[in-house]
Amino acid sequence: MSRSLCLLALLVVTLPVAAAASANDEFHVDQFRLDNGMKVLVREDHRAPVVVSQVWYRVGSVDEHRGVTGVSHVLEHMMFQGTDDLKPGEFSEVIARHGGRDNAFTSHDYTAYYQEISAADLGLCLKLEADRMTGLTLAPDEFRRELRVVQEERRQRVEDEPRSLTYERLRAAAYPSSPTRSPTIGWESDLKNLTIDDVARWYHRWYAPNNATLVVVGDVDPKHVLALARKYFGDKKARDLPSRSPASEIEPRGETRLKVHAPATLPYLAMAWRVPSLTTVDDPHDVYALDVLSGLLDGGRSARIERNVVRGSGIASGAGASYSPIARTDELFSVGGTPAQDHTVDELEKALRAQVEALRKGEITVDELERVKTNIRAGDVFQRDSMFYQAMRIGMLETVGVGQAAYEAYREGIRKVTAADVQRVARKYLTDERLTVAELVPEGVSGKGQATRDGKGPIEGQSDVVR
Amino acid sequence: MWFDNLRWLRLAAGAVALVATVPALAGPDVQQWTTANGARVLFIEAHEIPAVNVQITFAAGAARDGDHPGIAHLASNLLMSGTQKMTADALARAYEDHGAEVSTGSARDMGWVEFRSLSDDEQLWSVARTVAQMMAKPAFPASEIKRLKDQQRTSLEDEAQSPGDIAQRAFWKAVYGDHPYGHDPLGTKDSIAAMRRADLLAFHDRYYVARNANLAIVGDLDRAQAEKLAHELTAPLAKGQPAPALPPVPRLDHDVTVRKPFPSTQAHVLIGRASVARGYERWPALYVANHVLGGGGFSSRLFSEVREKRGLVYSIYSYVSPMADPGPFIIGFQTRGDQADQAVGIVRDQLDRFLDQGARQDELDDAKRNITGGFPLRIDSNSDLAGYLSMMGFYGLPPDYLARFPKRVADVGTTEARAAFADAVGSAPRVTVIVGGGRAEQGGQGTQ
Repeated sequence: MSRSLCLLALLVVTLPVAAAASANDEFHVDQFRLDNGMKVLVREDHRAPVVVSQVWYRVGSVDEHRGVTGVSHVLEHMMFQGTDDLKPGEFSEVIARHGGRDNAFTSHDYTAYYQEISAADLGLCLKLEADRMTGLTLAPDEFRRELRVVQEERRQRVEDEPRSLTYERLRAAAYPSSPTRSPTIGWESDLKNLTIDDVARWYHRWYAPNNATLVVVGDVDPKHVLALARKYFGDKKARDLPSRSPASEIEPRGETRLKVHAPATLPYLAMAWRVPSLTTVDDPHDVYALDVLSGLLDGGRSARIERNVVRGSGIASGAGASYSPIARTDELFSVGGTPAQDHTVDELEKALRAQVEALRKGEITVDELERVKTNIRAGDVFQRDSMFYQAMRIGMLETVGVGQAAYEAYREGIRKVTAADVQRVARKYLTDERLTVAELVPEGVSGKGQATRDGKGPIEGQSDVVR
Repeated sequence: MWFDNLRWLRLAAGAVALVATVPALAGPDVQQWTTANGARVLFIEAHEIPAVNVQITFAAGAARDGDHPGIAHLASNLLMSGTQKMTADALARAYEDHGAEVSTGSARDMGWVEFRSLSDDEQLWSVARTVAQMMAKPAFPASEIKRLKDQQRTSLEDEAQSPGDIAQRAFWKAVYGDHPYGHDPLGTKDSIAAMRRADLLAFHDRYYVARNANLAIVGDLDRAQAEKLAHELTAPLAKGQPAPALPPVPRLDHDVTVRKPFPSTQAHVLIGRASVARGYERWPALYVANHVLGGGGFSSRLFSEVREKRGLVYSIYSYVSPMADPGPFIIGFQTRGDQADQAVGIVRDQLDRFLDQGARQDELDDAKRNITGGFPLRIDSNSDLAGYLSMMGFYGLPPDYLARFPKRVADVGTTEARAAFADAVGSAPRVTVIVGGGRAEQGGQGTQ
């Protein structure tokens, strides 16, 4: 893959496809629950004397309302800025002194904190996590400074990244009414107006043991982990969690198109269909089939987009597809890319639509279906090489609400997907009614950028262009 | 695809750059041998997962471009375009029918092929034979040359719309000038257009040869199987010659500051110079010193002064990247355009102070604890180990390099750390590159 061409902007995280392996190597996870409702999930992996410890909170940007977008992520930053017992920054310093590394991440669906450290220091991690679950200082000075850091983060990741900017606008257009639309990092104007009170309210509302899951993977004994969890988190009081608004979204009534103007030299196209996730789907077989469909389009260099659109017709310089079925709300099934030299965004759109159309017509060979499944199986083996991603999967499944059993069901489900299933979900979900198409219009990079109209591209109507 | 919605890490950039320069740990038994036609092999047996990770590196990076800037990059990409017996489509199917992940890549020093495969006989040997054919007998078909030249031109345009990439390109040019590290590994529009198939074949035939190759193998094999694997992978390669040494790096005779306008909200800043080559004898001391300054993530001085105290940046880091010739020392960060000069002033001040006074004892102790204590983490996966073995093999480091590194770090004192940093980063002239930030007023009002 060429050096600096990020194909689907935010979408391309080239981690191995999770999933199916042969039935004989079940992925065992020990599961406990403390009296206060906190879940404790442990996966033993004794390859090295180390451990990955993660605390997941079921709160993310889909829980945010207008005016405070980004507050989950700002709170994540503030979780490193001191407690009754620790100075700002001291959490990470303590972990570093013990040879560990720590960080955190926020998504639409969750906020999670992790340490990777010597297995002997697991207790230290849990003690520190327990401390900041309830004892955060939230000092105004630290908040003002950290908010500037987050604004720099937004500039770095979105404002100055034309493809990220395009995908952010695409998501907002695809979901016109629900909080699913807003970016996890928050809209710029909301970040500017966010207050320490907003952050404190968020912390006191959502950070409680009954909204948290501890995931530990590594060289540990599950019973010992449970004992440590009881010791440090056992006395935390459960809290009444607010009812969550059902984040329902208005029905799509026709294709949505938008253009995003930005300082750039290369055009870019992203197309996304609103499809269900594991938590919102009526029948999970639809999700398994969509995942296989995604593999048919972009499961490697032999898959359709690379074979037909990048190599065959040469219309795309780079292109891909993406679908993440572990989510609390509906998800986007995305395809997109950058047109090759002497080709246009229109041609690319036609070529990508033709790939989808072929699947809708059921033009799928047994060979390629098997290849996709083989690669999903192999990816599952490769993934066991990383304790961190084992922990990620455990935490995501639990936090979005489908639980660990969903993984075995997924592996089994993938095995049973047929060409007819793929055709059926292509017809059911990859329809123009559910589609949003965003085009990045490059405005050049000379001058100071006044022509970018503040980076905001017009949204070109939400029309009923159906087929 | 299940993990695509992982988006916002508190600190992302910087950490990535560090990985390549972090040496790893004691423990695993590193075996070494040379294949019949002269390729060096490093191997670690690891049976926990039924898979094998392999990296084959060649001294075939952009430093070998010669009169054809960008040719190493194109030749590397073309490897996946088919062999003398298989089309690009057939090649991709041959790997993916067996569930193998295969890729090629190149940087300034190296071109490489890497793959991972399930380790059972049915999968592994077929994959290995195909990889061997691909490395030794690629087809370089005319249609693929045209397509990948176009793709490389698109990559150039992509670089031109990224202030971070523009800054990198300007930095390497300013530090290395006409040295083979100085040019953009993508080449130029003209140089890409001028490359002929014969040039590409000549490049391949010169550099993708056994005596210019190093293999790193980690996985579920015993020694006999690993030897067989190394043989299968290298036997079709011509014996050839190792690549010659690179010319010396020129010395700057005065500080250089490069400013380039770009309509971004942030300015991208790089400050640095040419530093040391891989194999530098005081590397552990230099590594510890840099860890204190800007290599140690959340606990480094630069992070503390520029982000934690002043909120000027999201990411800031420093690293030394030892290469075949002296590689760069770089401090990098991004900040809202109108704050760039302020931030540059603070960073220069911190660097000068650090050169002058070195690390405090407590900082040094913390850094050493982090590095030695974190060793098991850095080698807790086969893919990590394969990366380290590959680096060791390519740069000719001894097989016990990993095992000895923690002890060497533990022995570093404040005096050695300061002396090594002064020697490798010292008061020699520096390059400062500042790109963009012109849109700061419109796009990114702050909260000051």
